[in-house]
Amino acid sequence: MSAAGSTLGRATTRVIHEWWLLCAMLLVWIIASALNAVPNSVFPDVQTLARSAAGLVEGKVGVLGKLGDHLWISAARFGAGYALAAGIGIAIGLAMAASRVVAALTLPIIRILYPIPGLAWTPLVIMWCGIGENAVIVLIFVSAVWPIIYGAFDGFRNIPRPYFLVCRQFGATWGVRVRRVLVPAALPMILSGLRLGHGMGWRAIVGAEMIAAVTGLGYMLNMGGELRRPEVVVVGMIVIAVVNALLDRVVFGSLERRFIARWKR
Amino acid sequence: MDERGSTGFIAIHNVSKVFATADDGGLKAIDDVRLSIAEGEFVCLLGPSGCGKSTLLNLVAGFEEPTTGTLSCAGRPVVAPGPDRGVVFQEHTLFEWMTVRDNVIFGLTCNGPMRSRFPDAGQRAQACIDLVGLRGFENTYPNFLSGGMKQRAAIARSLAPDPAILLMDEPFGALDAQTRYIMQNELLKIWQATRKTILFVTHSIEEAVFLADRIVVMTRRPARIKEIVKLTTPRPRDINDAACSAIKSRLYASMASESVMS
Repeated sequence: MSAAGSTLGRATTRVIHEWWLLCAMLLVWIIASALNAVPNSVFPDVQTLARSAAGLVEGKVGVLGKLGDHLWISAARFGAGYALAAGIGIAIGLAMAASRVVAALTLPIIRILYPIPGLAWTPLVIMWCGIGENAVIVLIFVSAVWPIIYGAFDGFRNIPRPYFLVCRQFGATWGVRVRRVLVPAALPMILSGLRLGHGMGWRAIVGAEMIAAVTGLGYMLNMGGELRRPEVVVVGMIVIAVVNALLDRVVFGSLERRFIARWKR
Repeated sequence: MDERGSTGFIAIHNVSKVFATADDGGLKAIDDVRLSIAEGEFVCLLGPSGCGKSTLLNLVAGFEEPTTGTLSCAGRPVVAPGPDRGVVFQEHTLFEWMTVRDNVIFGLTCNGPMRSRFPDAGQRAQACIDLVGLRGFENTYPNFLSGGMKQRAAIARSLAPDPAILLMDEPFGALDAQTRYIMQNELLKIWQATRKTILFVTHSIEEAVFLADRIVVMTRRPARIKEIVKLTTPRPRDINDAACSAIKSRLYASMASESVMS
């Protein structure tokens, strides 16, 4: 009872430590809104933001369309680009780990391309794909794929050699080796690559849609700026942050809890 | 019994091993080793670090092929690793994402023949876990076990498919002195309970004297058999009594002449 109480107490203390500044800033914002201290053209007050958010959800803010539609379109693009990056990235990483020749040939290329921001590809990709769906998907792919390649490469490459001897000694079939040894052994690094790639891809989607699309969250955000509606921009930013946090914390967090946390020390 | 012949339960017949090197001179790890080990015997391979004794173990395990010579176990030539020879490695090689139970079950479920040989793998695994004294830790992951307990789990895993032979490559080398002593006693109990034939690699004279029926002293690389010392002191042994001390002195002298150059 007392142990549970102190655990709860520690958790509460931690939450207060981490969140007080954000709460204070929100409070300042609320007070400033009540006093009408900041013009709406600089930063929206609480009422304007709430009205704008409600309006966007219902699709009543000018020509901007419905927030849900934009979110859905962005998510679908992200899903397509990210799935490509995950599949191709893990396959390349695995090939590099399996073959010295492949690793030697591809590493210099990857080292050169990795530091280039995904969005730097935008002009080229627009020339290749035109403005629209494909361009955004390709841009998400080139943003997300590099850490995924590295994660899979490191994961498969660093499997301790004795594990292979153990498999040989017991005469494990190839299916068993892959399913019960190779994949679980490489999974922590693969997952951290996927998580990094997810963050980079999600960041890229807004920029990509600002330039290379006429729908999606990025487009909505950009239009909010062009129409001098900062509240639309802020609503878009909040949605982007919340969706990313949900995906990162909930999806990757639970994957790591499910597959890694219980055995890793 | 034919101590150096080719008729034993484990028969190593004029085996040499040369590893390919960049300067294509080749690295000779083992030179013309003949050794015969009886069924149920506990034999220690004793030699300086890097002398090639682990290579000899890997040849018996079937991980490596001899350059010349032949090996056989229970009358069958060694051509590949097999379930008749369990291996315990020096560093812990437990799968860290599996519980103790799943690690021990692995060997029983990783191919078709094993699955039909052990239809009740869970029960067989439990018996092995009990044998090594890990009851209560079945659901623990290796990272949460001490070094000694990890090696207990590794021994249980290699015992699970009921191999006739246990090959152990400095299994207690990374343990502290006290844990090591406990594990040596534990291993002798397991050996006496299961009557496995054990080939045990070590560079510790004390360990070899405490454990073995016979100690095979290897020269430094390329490894040859320098001498074979037979121990008749009943177990549990006091390695500081007169008989064991005499053997230790002899082994120290023998080993010292092998490590002058290192």
